[in-house]
Amino acid sequence: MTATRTTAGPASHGARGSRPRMPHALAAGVTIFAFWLVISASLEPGDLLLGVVLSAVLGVWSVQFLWAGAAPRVSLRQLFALLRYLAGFSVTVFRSAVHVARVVVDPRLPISPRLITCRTGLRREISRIAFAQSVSLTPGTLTVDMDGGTFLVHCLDEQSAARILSGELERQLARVFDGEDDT
Amino acid sequence: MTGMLLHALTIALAVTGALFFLAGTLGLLRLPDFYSRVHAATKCDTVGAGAILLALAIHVAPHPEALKILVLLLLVLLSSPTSGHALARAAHHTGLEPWRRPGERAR
Repeated sequence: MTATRTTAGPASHGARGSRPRMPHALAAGVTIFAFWLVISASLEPGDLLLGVVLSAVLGVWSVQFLWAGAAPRVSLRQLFALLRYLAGFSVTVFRSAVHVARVVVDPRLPISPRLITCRTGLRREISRIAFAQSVSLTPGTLTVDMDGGTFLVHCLDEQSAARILSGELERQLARVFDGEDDT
Repeated sequence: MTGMLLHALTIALAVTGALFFLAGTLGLLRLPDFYSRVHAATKCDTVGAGAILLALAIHVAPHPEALKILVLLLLVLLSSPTSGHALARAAHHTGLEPWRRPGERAR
């Protein structure tokens, strides 16, 4: 959900005129209230009341850009698949930081940067965004631009480019989101 | 005993985080162009901040503050690749070409 908010920014200009819908405002408000509970760490009636008021106001206000298009539908099965994916992916994130660290401490600075175009068959907006974010945290690659299922990726070296073009990451995310019960 | 192990884990994570921040900074100074510097900032700072925040969360563990720190960790993990992408995208839209190793031909 949070990823949708951040990456769907440019698309929101078109949706600005449309009326915010109630369930979306409610969902945003509930999320904000949960966040309030964590950061206030208090169950005092006054704090709770202030939290409810703020969540309601922010929920209604943020609905215009939180769900710029249709809200992504994620089934429970997909949510669990995503959590499993993230657990495995955290290792990749660590490896990518090690990769950059090794490159920059090497006196020869072994890079040969390039821009590559990566066409994917990902159909859903949510899987495309997840792919773009994942590419940016995979060793040696950074998503520069996306247009539909096509991504412009900056790669630090040849091996990093090959890893993205192999399509393994795409297959993993297709398994998570582009499942049989997608909408 | 467990307390000592937790302390050791906290210190190890904090030091790891600091080392990654150092690597990220070194990358900012050494890498040749904007795009490759974004690589260093995105990856090293994500893991650096992640490790340090995890260390802090373990340090204050039974306290509710730990939950706050974990939420912060989640925020960093999401915002880091997003801002890296936003920076690279903005640079690309201004027409900035990525640096290439001299002698290599653009494909």
